[in-house]
Amino acid sequence: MNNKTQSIEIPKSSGSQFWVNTKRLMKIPLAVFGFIVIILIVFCAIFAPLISPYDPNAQSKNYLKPPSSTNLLGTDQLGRDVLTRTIFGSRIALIVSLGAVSLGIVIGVPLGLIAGNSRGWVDEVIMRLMDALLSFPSLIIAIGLVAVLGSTLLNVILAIGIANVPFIARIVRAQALSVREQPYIMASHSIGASSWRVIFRHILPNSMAPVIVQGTLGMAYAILTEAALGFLGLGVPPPTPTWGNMLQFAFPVLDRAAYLSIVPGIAIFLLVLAFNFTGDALRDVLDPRLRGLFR
Amino acid sequence: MGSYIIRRLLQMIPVVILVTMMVFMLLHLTVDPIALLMGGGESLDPEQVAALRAEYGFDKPLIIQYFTWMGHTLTGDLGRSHKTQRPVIDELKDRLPVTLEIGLFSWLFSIIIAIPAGILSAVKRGSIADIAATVITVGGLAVPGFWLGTMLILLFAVQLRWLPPFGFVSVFSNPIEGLKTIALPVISLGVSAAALNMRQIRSSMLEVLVQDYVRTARAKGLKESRVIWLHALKNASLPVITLMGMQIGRLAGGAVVIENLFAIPGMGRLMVTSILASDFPVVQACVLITALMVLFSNLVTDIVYGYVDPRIRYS
Repeated sequence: MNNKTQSIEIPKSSGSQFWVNTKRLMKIPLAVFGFIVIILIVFCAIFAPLISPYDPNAQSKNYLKPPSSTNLLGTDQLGRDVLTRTIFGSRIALIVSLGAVSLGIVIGVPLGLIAGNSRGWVDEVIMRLMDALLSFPSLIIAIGLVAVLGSTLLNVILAIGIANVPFIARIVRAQALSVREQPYIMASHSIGASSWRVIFRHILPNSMAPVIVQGTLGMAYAILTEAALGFLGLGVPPPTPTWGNMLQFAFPVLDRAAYLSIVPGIAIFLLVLAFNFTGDALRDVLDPRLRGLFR
Repeated sequence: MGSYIIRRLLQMIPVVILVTMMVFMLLHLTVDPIALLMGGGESLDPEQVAALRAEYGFDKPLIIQYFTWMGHTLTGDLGRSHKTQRPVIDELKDRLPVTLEIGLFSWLFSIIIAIPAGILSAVKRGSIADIAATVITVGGLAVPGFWLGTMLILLFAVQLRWLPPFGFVSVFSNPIEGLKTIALPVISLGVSAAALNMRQIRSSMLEVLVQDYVRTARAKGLKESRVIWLHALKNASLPVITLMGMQIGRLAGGAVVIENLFAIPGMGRLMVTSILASDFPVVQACVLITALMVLFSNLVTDIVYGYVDPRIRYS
């Protein structure tokens, strides 16, 4: 697919660019698979109360029942329906990852733009700060912040989001630095465009492709981090079902009810896989030269 | 080479200072650091709080507090655990070697799997082996390590009863028992690193294999194995070295979950039990040590990189 994308000419109008890219994406089977999975899971999350057979927190006397016709994926120690809880768990996974990535973009993009356009000490200070942040593994930042702030939904988003900032800031800065050296930027300056105009008209749009790619791959990473936090008992607290806390709750009965541990894990795996596929495909379509730029 | 190392060390200083500031500020993100330090829970009377505030220096300006804290930290005084009343540094001395052992073996595991698999799938591009390796890579990147660990426990400990489901014996004290206990944790922790390495080795090998000097080496009549292992791999290894260095952080993060899953008494488990017990000084120390370990491994990576590729040293 790499060879194909290189030979395609880029059309002039930017409006049709979106459709050209979409068409190219749809020719990549893994991207189509990724899209379908994401759309299905988003659908489940939005319509969770309508499509799930039970209330996610409704307990019953059917403890630890294996999958059957009444409970398609079985029940847990409190007699709650696993299918229902898995469907509802998609809400937290999506809200947290979307929130965390958005936070990373909202803070990271301006930081990257400022650093890339100011050079000198401002650039130096921002980038050293990002280096310092990068030296904390994202799960460690998340654990540290949740330990101090407490594990609420908002804090979990914040904790995972902070870890995304340096990745975005670095990419935007690199993009700003390379775009700034282009002749058309000089031309733009020479006809009197202000620095702000150059930033918003040229540098920012040019940074969007790598930010979108990093954001998509960052979604996958955020889902994994959220699940790990939940498994450690530091994520969004029960009874709210999350895939992570379902796995934590299921672990002590692994020998008696393995399905309890299998189901949420497959859900995490599928959603992460879908975001990885989509991110990789977006990168190939938007800019094949970006290979290797991402974690 | 010497001046390159010194330059890198100097560049690291501001980052280390910023890292310590961030860890220090973690405590001050809350309204009342005293409550956090004292483990919350029981309410203290105002007089006690005021006394503690003075004792910890919380009544002084933040910058003074930072330097005091730094002074203590530099002399190895990381505070005292509320739970055990032992100095935090002593707790860490017990736990850190365990985490390092698990981390080291996971790292080695990822390399031992990735190098042959990555080379094979690049050399035999499009073959069944390549497709299998790619599928494993894609899966390894998407599977949560702790869930893979759970499934491994289910298979090897619960069903087959070949390996213990939890616990830890050091490989260095008892190699056979040690390997048995760390096998599952090491696989669970190392699999995503192995997947990343494999992908990187495959793509850099593919790039290198079409270069002119590889064709020249083949034209000279060198054995294919020599061409691949000596000519191609050496040049393909540069991005892989960077990646392997960066993975130390990833492994350190992952170790927290894996240690908790397998009940391994390492720093990650200490960190989580301390959070649940509101033992904040221990958490703070663990965060600091992890970040410093990552910085150190980045430094080593840069030095190795400079050693392998002289262009880096002089740029």
